[in-house]
This record gives sequence, C-alpha cells and structure tokens, in this order.
Amino acid sequence: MFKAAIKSLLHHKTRLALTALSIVLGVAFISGTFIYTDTTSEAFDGIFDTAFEGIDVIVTSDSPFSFSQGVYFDEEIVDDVAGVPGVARSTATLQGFGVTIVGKDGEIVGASGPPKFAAFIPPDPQDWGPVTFREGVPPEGPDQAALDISSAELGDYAIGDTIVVVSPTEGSMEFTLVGTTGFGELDNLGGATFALFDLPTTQMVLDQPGKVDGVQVQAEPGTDIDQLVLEIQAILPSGAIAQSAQTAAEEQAAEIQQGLGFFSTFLLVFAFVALFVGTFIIYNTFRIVVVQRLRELALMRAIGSTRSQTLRIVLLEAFIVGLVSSAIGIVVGIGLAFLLRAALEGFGIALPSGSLVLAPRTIIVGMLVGVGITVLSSLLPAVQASRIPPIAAMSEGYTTPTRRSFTVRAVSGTVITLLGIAILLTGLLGDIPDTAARLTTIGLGAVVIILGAYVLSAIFAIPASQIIGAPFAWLFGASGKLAQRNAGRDPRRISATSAAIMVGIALITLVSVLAASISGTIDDVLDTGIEADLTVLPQNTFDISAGFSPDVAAGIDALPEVAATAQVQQGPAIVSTVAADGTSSEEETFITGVSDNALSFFDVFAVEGDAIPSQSGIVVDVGTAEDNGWTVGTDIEVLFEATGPAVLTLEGIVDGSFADGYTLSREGFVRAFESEADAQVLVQLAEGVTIEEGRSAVETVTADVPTIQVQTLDEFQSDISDQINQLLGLFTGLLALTVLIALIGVTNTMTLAVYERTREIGLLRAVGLDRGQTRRMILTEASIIASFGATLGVILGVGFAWAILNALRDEGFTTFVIPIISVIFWVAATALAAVVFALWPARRAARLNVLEAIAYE
Amino acid sequence: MNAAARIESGTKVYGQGEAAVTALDEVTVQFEEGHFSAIMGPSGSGKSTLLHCIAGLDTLTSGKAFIGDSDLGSLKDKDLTVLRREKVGFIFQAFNLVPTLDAEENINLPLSIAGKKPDQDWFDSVVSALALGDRLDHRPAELSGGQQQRVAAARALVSKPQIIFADEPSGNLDSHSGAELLGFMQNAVKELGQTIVMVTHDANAASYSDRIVFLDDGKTVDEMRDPTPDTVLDRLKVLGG
Ligand SMILES: Nc1ncnc2c1ncn2[C@@H]1O[C@H](COP(=O)(O)OP(=O)(O)OP(=O)(O)O)[C@@H](O)[C@H]1O
Ligand SMILES: [Mg+2]
Repeated sequence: MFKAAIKSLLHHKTRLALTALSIVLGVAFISGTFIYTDTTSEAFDGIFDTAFEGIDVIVTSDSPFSFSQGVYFDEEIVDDVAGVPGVARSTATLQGFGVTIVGKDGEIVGASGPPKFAAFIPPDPQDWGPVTFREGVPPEGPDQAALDISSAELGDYAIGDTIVVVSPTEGSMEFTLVGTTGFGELDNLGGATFALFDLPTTQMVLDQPGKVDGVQVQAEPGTDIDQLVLEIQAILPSGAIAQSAQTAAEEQAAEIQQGLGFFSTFLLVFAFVALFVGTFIIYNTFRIVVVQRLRELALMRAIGSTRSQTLRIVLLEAFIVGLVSSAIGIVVGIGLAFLLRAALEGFGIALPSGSLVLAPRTIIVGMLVGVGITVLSSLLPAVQASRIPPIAAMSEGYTTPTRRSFTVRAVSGTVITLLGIAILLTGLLGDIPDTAARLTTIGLGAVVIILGAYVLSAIFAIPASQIIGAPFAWLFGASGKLAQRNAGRDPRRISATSAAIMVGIALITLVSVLAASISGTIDDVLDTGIEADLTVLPQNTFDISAGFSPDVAAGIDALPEVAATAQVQQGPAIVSTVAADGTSSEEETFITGVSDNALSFFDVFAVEGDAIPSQSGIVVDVGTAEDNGWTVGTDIEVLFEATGPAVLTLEGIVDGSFADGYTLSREGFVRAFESEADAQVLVQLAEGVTIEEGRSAVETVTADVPTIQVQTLDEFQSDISDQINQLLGLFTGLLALTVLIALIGVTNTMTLAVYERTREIGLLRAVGLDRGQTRRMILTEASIIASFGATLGVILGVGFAWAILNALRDEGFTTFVIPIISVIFWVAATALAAVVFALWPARRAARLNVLEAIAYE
Repeated sequence: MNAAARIESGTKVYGQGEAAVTALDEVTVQFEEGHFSAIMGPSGSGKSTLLHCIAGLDTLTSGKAFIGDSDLGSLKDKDLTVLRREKVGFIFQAFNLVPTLDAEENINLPLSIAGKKPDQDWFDSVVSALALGDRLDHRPAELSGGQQQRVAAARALVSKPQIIFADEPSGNLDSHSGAELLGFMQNAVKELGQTIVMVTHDANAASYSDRIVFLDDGKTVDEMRDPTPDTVLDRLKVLGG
C-alpha cells in the first residue's frame, strides 16, 4: 500500500508540491518563531544568570504600575540596608528613561520605539551586574559619561569626544565620553539606548536629587540569602521590595523577552493564517486528485479492495505529503529565524549571535501541526474516495455525487455563521478580562464565521459568478460567456477554491479598514477638536511620558509671534472603577493634566459641573461617568506612583472630541505626579503671523531639545497616518503572501477543469474557437473564481472590521472608513494574479490536440 | 462541377518505424459542391482519418488537402481555426454540444465565437426544419440523443458553411431518429444547396447520399452514385468478400 501511495504521489507531483507550499510556509513560520524565541531566551537567560554574579539581594520598587515612571527612594536607604546584619556591601542603583543621546550629526540616536535610559554605573566592577566595559572606564564627576556601544557607534562617538545628552527637565547637556559598555556579549538591550553616569550626575540628569531607585547587596559569606531578604525587607520603606538576585535575574530576563514577544505573537498569528488557508488548499487538491483518479480508485474497488483500504490509501498519501512538507518547513524555519535576527539587527536591536537553538519541541510541534493539518484536510476527500462505487470504473460519465442538498447547506451554513457571530460578539463585548483569552475568542469566532461563509458560498456561487462574469462576457464575447458559464458549473468547487482567497482578502480588508478608520478617527478629532496652529511634542511614547521641561512652554509663550500656549501633561494612574454590578476594580489608565486656558484650545464642554477641575478635583468624560455611575460630587480613589493614594472629588462631567478619560488641572497634576514636565504644548499664533514664521520662532526655543518636534496639526496627523500605514504595509505584505498561496488553488482547479473538459474544449476548437480564445476562456474563468473569493473576502473583512470598531466605540473609535480604492485594488489584483496562476492550465487547453479530444472511444 | 473539398495523393502515417500505421495511402478524392457524399469502408480503413484531414482537424503526412481554394497544409493553426469556423460545419457521432450552453446558444456558437450576429430568418427556418422550436432553451442534458444530433446539425447549417463534415452522425441513434436526421441532411443538400460529406458504415445511412466513396486499407477502392440500401449492401459484400 505504501508503494502504491508513493507511486500515485509521484504521478501528481507538481500539483502536490504546489499544495504543500502552504504547509511548508505555515510550519516554517511556526518553527522559525520557536527557534527565534528559544535562541533569544537562552541567550538572555545566560546574560542574566551571570548578570548578578557576586550580588545576592536586590532592592527595587514594588510598583503596581505596568507603565511605571519609576519610583525613587531617599539615598539613605543604601546605608540603612548596609546596616542589616549579614550585608557585606550595598550599592545604589538608579535608572530612568526619556534621556536622549544626540549623535555627532545632530540626529537622535536609536529607533523611536524602544526607551532611552539614563543610568548610574558604579565605579567598582563587582557592582556592574550585566554591564561590561568594552573600552574606557566608568564615568566620574559631573562632566563624564559612558554610552552603550551601539549608541556610541550610531552617534559616531569615540572615547574622549564630547557627547550631547538631552534630559526632559535639564535640557541639552555636554559630557566627555570616557567609556563604552555592552551587556555581556550583546551590544544593546532590545534597541534601548543607555547614557551612564556616576550617581550625583544621574540624579541631576533624571531630576531626582538625593534619590535612588534601588540597592544591590552583597551578603557576607555563609549568610542564608532567603533570611537576609526577609531582614532587609523589614527595614525598607513602603513601595520597596527585596528579592534574591536569582529571582530578579529571572524577572528581568522574562521582561526583556516579553518586550520582544510582540514579534513572536505576530509571526505565530501569521503561521496560523497560512495554515488555515492551507487547509482549504489541501482539501481542494485532494478532492481534485480523487476526481482525477476516479476510474483508478473504482477499479481497485472492483478488483476487491475495501472501502477502508481506499480511505487509508488517500490518508496515507496525505500523511506522506504532510511529513515531507513539514520537514521542509522546519528547514525553511531555520532560515527564517536567521532572517528575523538579521531584520531585528537592521532595526538596531542587538540579538545574541550564538548558534540557533533547535529544540525538540520545535520539531515535534512543527511536524504534528503540519502532518495533522494535511491529514485532517484530506479526510473529507478520502471519505469521498472510499464511497466511489466499483461501477464508476465502467460507466462513462460518473462524477462524485453531490451529497448535501442546498437546503441542508443553507441551514448548516447559516447555523455555523450565526454561531461564529455569537462567539465573535462574546469575544468583543462579553467581559473576558484576560486579553489573550479575549483575542482567542475573537479569532475563534472569525474562524467559525469563515467556515460558515464557506459553506454558504456554494449556494450563491452560481448567481455570483454570473454577475461577476457579465462584464467579461460583454468584453470577450463567446469566450467570456463560456467562462462565465463554466465558473458557475460546479458551485462546490468554486467555493472550495475561492475559500482560501476569501480568507486572505478578508484579513487584508480587515486591516485596511481598521487602519483607515483609525486614521479617519484621528483626522476627525484633529480637524474638529483642536484649535491650534502648532503642536510641540516628542516623537517617542517614552519621551512623551517622560515629558519635557516647562521652560519650553514658557519660552514659547514669551515669543511675540505667539498669542497663546496650552500645556498638556500626561502620566499613568490607577483608578478604582465601579462596574455595573457595583463591584469595584483597579484600572491603570493615563491621566491628563491641562493648563487653565485649555478650553480655548480643545473642543470640550461641561455637561455637568466644571470642564476644568480645581487642584483637588478631577473631571471625567460622559461615557466613563455613566459606566461607573458617577455624578458630580462623587469621591474617586486614584493611586499615583509618585505620591500614593489620593481621593479626588468629581467636579465635572465633560463631552466633546477631546474629552476622553480623566483630566486634572495643571496644579493638581503637578502635585500628584511631582512633575512639571509637559507632554505636549499647543500653540496659537498671533494675528498676522504665518505658520512658517511661527514655526521658526518656536524652533529657536526648542532647538536644544532635539526630541521635540514642532508640527502643524496636519503634519502631526500625517505622521500618525504614516506610522499606521507602515504597520499596515507589513501586515498586508505577509497577508498578500497567503493570497498568493491561495491562488495555487486556482491553478489546481483550472488544471482539473481542463482535464475534465478535454472533449468539450476539443469540440469548441473544432467549431472554431481559436487558441487565443481558448486561453482567454480559461483565464477568465480563473479570474471569475478569484474575484468571487476576493469579493466574499471583502464582505467578511468589512464585517469583521465593523464588529471590532463597534466594540471599540467606547475607546473613541467613532469613524468607520472603508478604503474603497485599496479594497478595489486588492480585488482587482487578486483577479489579475489569478490569470497568472491559470496560465499553465490555459496553455494546456490551448495546446490541446483537437483530434484526441474529440476521439470517440 | 466544382469541388467543395478535395484531397490530392493524401497520405497519413501514424507513428514511426516499426509501429508506423499508414491510415491513408496516396488517396485522391474530391467532393462536389451541392452534393451529399458518403465515405464507407470497413473499420480501420481510414474513413475518419480522411475526414479529419480534409476538414482541417488533422494534417496529412504528404499530399495536399483543399477546402474550396484553400490549401490546408499552408495554413497556420489560427487560419485553420478561422477556416473551420467560417467555412466548415461539423456533426460528430456524439458529444457535439457544449453542456453549459442551451440549444440556441449551441446552434449559434460558431457565429458567436466569430463575433457575428445570427441571421434570424435563416436561424428560424433551420430550427423549424429540424423541429427544434420548442427545445431552444434546453440544455443538452435535457435533450434526447436524436434532439442533440439535430441541434448539432442546426449548428453546422446555421453559419451557412461551404461544406459540412459528419462522422457517423446517426451512429448513436435509433433507426427512427437516425432516419429523421439523415432525411433532414438530404433536404439541406437538395433544397438549400448545402454540401455534406458523411462517414458511415451503415448501408442504410449511406443510401441517403448522392455518391459513396469506398475506402479500404487507406485507399479509395470504389465509388457509387445514387445508392439505395440494397445496392450498397451488395457492393459491400463484393468489397468485403
Ligand atoms: N491517433 C492514432 N495513432 C495511431 N494510429 C491511428 C490513430 N488514429 C487512427 N489510427 C489508425 O489508423 C487507421 C485508420 O483509422 P480510422 O480511425 O481512420 O479508421 P475508420 O475507418 O474511421 O475506422 P472505424 O470505422 O472503426 O471508425 C487504423 O488502423 C487506426 O488504428
Ligand atoms: Mg471512424
């Protein structure tokens, strides 16, 4: 039986090879992702294992904030810890973000995504932790600094050079570069930049005089570390926590990996999509193979092979295909992991250069998934094959019977679709607290809806192909009309072929609509919600969070070209919210602080109470107030990282396009966050001052803070759109790949169609259809099938996007934009690409020997 | 009398070397305009081969084939196709029709491939002569074998071709339907001046023709004018004997 399977596989090798491509790709992405995560995790584990060599206990802040701005303690904590019996030495640690290194060329060093740190590097090597000096010595005194080697290279700085570092509060500062550092063998940590100083200088740069953010402890030999941790903990101020260095190392390694985990998730999602598309292709291919071998399989039945033997033969073939393609997939995955590493390094994120880790888990999962999906997808065709009666070997026109009637199909399709919608809605609207679980539910709902749509699609395949084919029939005459008819000939086949395309296009449409709608929402808000000529803010989210000195706003305000400025501050806080059933929960959110004149800049108005609160009050938007059942006068509990818990009175409920979330007055914010740093300054120019005059005036103020950009609202808006479009490009690029795989299904189907219609094509050729027309007939049919799939995909994708955006209404996504042009582009591109994928069967049809085709047996 | 189609020392060899089969051996024959000609002969004698070569479906190994004045050997595939579409009609033994098209569309197929409008009067008279009027919107699967062959005949006629080739058109039909079809073909020749060349090995079918060419072993061996079923059978006995 094995021999028979191999033989038949070799006979269909081109088709199966094409089919297997989807499995290869899916498995490659899975194994590539595993290899990549295993490799990085081993490397980071290694780094942090040795990182705290010689250090036994770490004291850090125990911040409940996931977006922590840093918690600082008085310096005395270091001496206090030193006083605990069993402590041999203790050293301060201090680190904060938002400190930018400016390169020799005046450009900001590092990518805009990762954070930019300033940190204290102790003079004694035994306190360096994971840091190693590549060159030079630790900085000493207010004029010296060290840089991580990546930043030094990017900034084109060498030891002895004068470097420029910009702090949010202190502005631009100059230091002499005395050393360059790495992290073990790594040049940088996930693309973050580090400027390193001695303790007083770090305190100055971070505007935290006399403060530290933790302590590193070396125990006396023979001390019980667990006991020591407890004893140190006992003397710590609130908000500080002692941990063994071991635990701290593990946590830090995990944190960095989580930061890089975005890529893994993204790649796994894509692997999943490729495999999902693959199931349709494999299903369809095996169906085709079964149809082509109808006679052969029937003959085998006639000469005594049993149903289950036929079933097993087909499944065995699927198994072999799955095995081979999964193996290839794993090999391709190794290549992919290499590429990934190169790509990340291209983004300035250093990764361990060690050899790739191919864990047994990678191979096992890759194989299981690849083989499993192939075998499962071939199950239905295999059952179909086993049902071929021996009589089919003798009769001329036997085709596999259409078992399910359209009524059954309509009912089951509708039920599945509705079930999918229900699951999707549960995921979108139900209260699933865990994000991963929520996303899984949404994904599952989407998959079930797609399956339902697939089942239903066969029902309207005929009318739809007539409609889609009509312009072709008009354009190409007889060959177009024949194609139109042919496309609707076997509704189950067209739906199976187009399903894979449908999935790919649905996802592309989904991301396009989401991107367009998000851009649209931002457009709307900026168009109608802000009254400002210029906006002044940093590019990087970490920099926005760190803010910049209020001197900038003051400087701008003093310019004769400027009529008014508004200052906006932003920071994280944890709010006790109240659910509908009265239970309260803690929610981390960003709180905004605005200067008193903000109302003349933002389209915000009070529905109740005041639009801007007093020092001890807070204002929320209508939606938040409703969700929590708050009215003016309610006391709201808020936890601030810098100043701890506070109770703020709700003084106003506001509405308008810039009214989302919680707002404090500037005084209230400064008090709660102990920070005067601005996240953004809005500028209204004096009458008669042009935007360009205003901009150059403002830029003289911001000149020495290179992280700050001065933009018009339009520029700001197109900046955001650009970022969204970049991400969109990445997603659609990968998804387009799945559409390409899906189009292989078109090749398969058209090849089968040409094979089945040999006689008919011969007849057409005999009565006068020329080769060009024959080719056009096949290509047009392929195009119609692909357009059908793409159209369904667009409908599904728009539907998904609508559901998601509706669920996010509360988050402020009020605009729903369908990017018509790009949607049309994708449908047209798919229809055109289908032509390319049908070239081979079309050529076969055109080259058909007329005589052989019409020969009567 | 003008030849609507002719073949001059036509030889057709299938295969090569040891396995070579000479299906046509230096055949010279012509089919006159306005005549209903039949080709007869035992199985394997080269009847279908002759028809295919003269109809531009296949090429001769040597010799020349003409339809009207066109030398088929000098034509490229594209021109051959156009020639078939415009000057030739076909009726095959079976599978004559495109299953996705209804009877009317099948009848008009060569015209619609050529992008031409059918001549409605002519279409109506062909359809009524073949008694297909109430079957025009039926798909082939919904037609009987005899009806399908009549649709094929209508298709062959409707483009007013210079010549119609038929390979055992009644071969799959019962005697009644067969007679109907053949009678119609005979009428088309007599009343409309159509030229038809038909391959058959049925003496009865052949008797509808004006002239029979007998083939054996790839050679023309005899000819007969104004046959009747009896004279044909007698001749076949002589030839076969
Ligand atoms: N494609 C081919 N390849 C090889 N030999 C062929 C081919 N087609 C026909 N022949 C051979 O050529 C000879 C003539 O065949 P042809 O089909 O013309 O006979 P026929 O007179 O039509 O027979 P029948 O009455 O059985 O249809 C036969 O010996 C046949 O085996
Ligand atoms: Mg024959």
